Amino acid sequence: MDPVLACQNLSVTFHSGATPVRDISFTVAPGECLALVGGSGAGKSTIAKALVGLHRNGTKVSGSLRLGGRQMVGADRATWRQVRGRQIGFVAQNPWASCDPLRAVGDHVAEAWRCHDLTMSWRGIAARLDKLGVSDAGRRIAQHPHTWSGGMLQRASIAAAGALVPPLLIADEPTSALDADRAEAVMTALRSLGSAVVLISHDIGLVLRHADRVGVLHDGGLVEESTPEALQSAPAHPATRHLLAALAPLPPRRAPAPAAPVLRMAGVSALYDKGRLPAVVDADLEVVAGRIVGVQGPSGCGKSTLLRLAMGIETPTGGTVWRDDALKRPGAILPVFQDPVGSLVPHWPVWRSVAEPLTAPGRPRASAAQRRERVAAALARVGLGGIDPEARPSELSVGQCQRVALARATIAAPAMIVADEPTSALDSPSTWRVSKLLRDAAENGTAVLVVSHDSGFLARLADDVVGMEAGRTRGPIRAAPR
Amino acid sequence: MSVLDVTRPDVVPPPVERRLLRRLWRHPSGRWGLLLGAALLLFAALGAVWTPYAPDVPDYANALKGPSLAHPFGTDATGRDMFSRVMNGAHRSIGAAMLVLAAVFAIGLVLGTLAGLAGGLTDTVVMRVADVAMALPGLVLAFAVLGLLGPGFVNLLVALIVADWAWYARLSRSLSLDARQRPHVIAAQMAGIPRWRIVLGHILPGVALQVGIVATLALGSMIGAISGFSFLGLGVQPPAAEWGALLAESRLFFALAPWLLLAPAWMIFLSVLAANLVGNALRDVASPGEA
Repeated sequence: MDPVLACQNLSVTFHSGATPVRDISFTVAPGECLALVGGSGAGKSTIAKALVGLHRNGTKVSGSLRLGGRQMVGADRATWRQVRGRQIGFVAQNPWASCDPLRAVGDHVAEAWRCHDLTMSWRGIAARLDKLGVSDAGRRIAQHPHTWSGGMLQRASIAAAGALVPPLLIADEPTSALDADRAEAVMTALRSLGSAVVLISHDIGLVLRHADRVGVLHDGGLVEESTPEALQSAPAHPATRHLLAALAPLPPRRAPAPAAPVLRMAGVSALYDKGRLPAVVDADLEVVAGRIVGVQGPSGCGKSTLLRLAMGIETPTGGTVWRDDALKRPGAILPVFQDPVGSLVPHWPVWRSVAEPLTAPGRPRASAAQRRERVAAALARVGLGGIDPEARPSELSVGQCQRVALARATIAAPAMIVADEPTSALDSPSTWRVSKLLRDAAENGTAVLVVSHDSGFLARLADDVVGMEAGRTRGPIRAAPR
Repeated sequence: MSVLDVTRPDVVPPPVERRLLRRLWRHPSGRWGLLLGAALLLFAALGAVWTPYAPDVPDYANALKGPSLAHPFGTDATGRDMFSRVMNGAHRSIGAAMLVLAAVFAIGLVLGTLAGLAGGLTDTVVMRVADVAMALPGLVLAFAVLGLLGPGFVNLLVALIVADWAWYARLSRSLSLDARQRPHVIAAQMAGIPRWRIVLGHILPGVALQVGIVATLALGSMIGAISGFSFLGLGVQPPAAEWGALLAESRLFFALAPWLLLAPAWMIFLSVLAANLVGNALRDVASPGEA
């Protein structure tokens, strides 16, 4: 059968002369899912834009791009407009960003027909959404995008992309804005349309589970192409091995030595707006030195508030928070945040951010040279010994920034580290490294409290996991033997 | 675990120019803005101490002469050399605009950040006063202050400061409210860093940079405003030279000597251009993540 998409020596050259994509060739057979996977800077998004003709005039796309037998390199805008929707559907990364917040979700899906001068009844749209697993679709399509969850809204985007039953869908990181559990359901919905799919993603685990064939991108080139099974059993290129290494389990945990709790929260509540807005209700939590406690729950369940109560930057409206004396000195509890770049001072060189906890009053005074030495050691511990300590956060990758933040959190030997979704902005290799570093901190006797929505991440990392829903904690879901 | 060993050092990123002035110099519009601005400042500084002719001494024999080698911009109705007057007026026009902006920047930054970080009564008082200042259109407020104080150059500067500070205070307040919530500020709090050091080290530099960019972009309109008030006779008093005042004087002889208008108009245009070029470039190079 003829391929729906055939790329031959496709290259993209920017106006500046940079060529983020060089000489890429692949074909996609009808109904097949080809995944293009790679780390940041591999050229993924540039390819996605080239495949749907979204590059601007200054950017040159060369080689051959045949879509159902039609040559699309050099096609004008009118041709692309005809092709998009009918021949090729596009699913973007962030479902909220692709929706106008002032229009109903149904309007967005209907647009897929309207822009080709076709009409579709709302009942028909609801039926399509229903087939993709949106419950109560008939009522919900009249609602605005912000009332939808990310997973549901991404299904609406898929319904819009597949509206005219195009033989090919391009999905650019369709799940990276979603929780891990919802990502699986969205991928299943994407495959259920029966169209061929080019899936562009950094998440090798997701790709291996859902794609028929996998191409590995590295530095603008396609370095390896194979089936998921072959790729996993015999990766040929170092870039592939690097991506696969992120799937490896953490090294086995040394059994934590029995230790006394450092923080105990009993029946703690935080009620906002005179009790009308309960963020945390009657929560219990115990954190022990040398152990990693995970708090797992969906967005908005009160995890972050619980963390702020544990840190002591918020006072509970009820219940007791008991802290060990070791936690009472300033600098004993150090945080790690969801936004790695924002957690470093943007106008400071990174060494100054890392050294800051050492300069708190009450700590032994260290000379500037001693501080720099300790910063160098701390950066080396997180694998950043090679970066320029004078670099500003904007010069580093997001994953590197999070490791700098970990260097800061550990440099002054805190008694407890609290981490709020520390890996949700990171790709898989960075997630692996950050998990390993948190594990190292615990093995050095630091108490670690991590909150996350990602059950898989917590299952790998934490010793004990506490569930949380609607502000209430649900006993330990899982506890390692003491 | 060779591939993902956490202690394996990362690749070193290529060195990046971090000094703001150098980055400004590399920016195409920034370079031209800096060159033009430096030339204008030099011109103004020189004009304050030396001019080819005395700028204020009439020479009735040479009144309303056209441009020539001896008088490149011609002479005005009392025979004063226009080039010397433009040169002598430069430090008043440019200097006054920079002075006003430096003052509103400093007042706005301090009051706004104080209001944003202290909160409570301080916030309420500062912001309600700012609301009152902002409720009146800037020019009307400046006219009112000038009406109270009487015309005069120093009074004009005071009037413009009174009319403008509230905008900078509002901006500083919202920026500092935002900065207070940043993860790096919370991290510093948890590390036990005293409040004053967080304010000076974490919050103020970022707020000052943002507000400073706005102030630089406002330099052009400020030079225009000062010239406008002088044109109306509310600023610099004769015989002192100032570009707006020169325009006002030259206007009377437009039919006889149209070239007299050109010189001050061009100087105002060039300084507005320089300020906007630098302001735009500053906004480009200072925006985070742009590196």
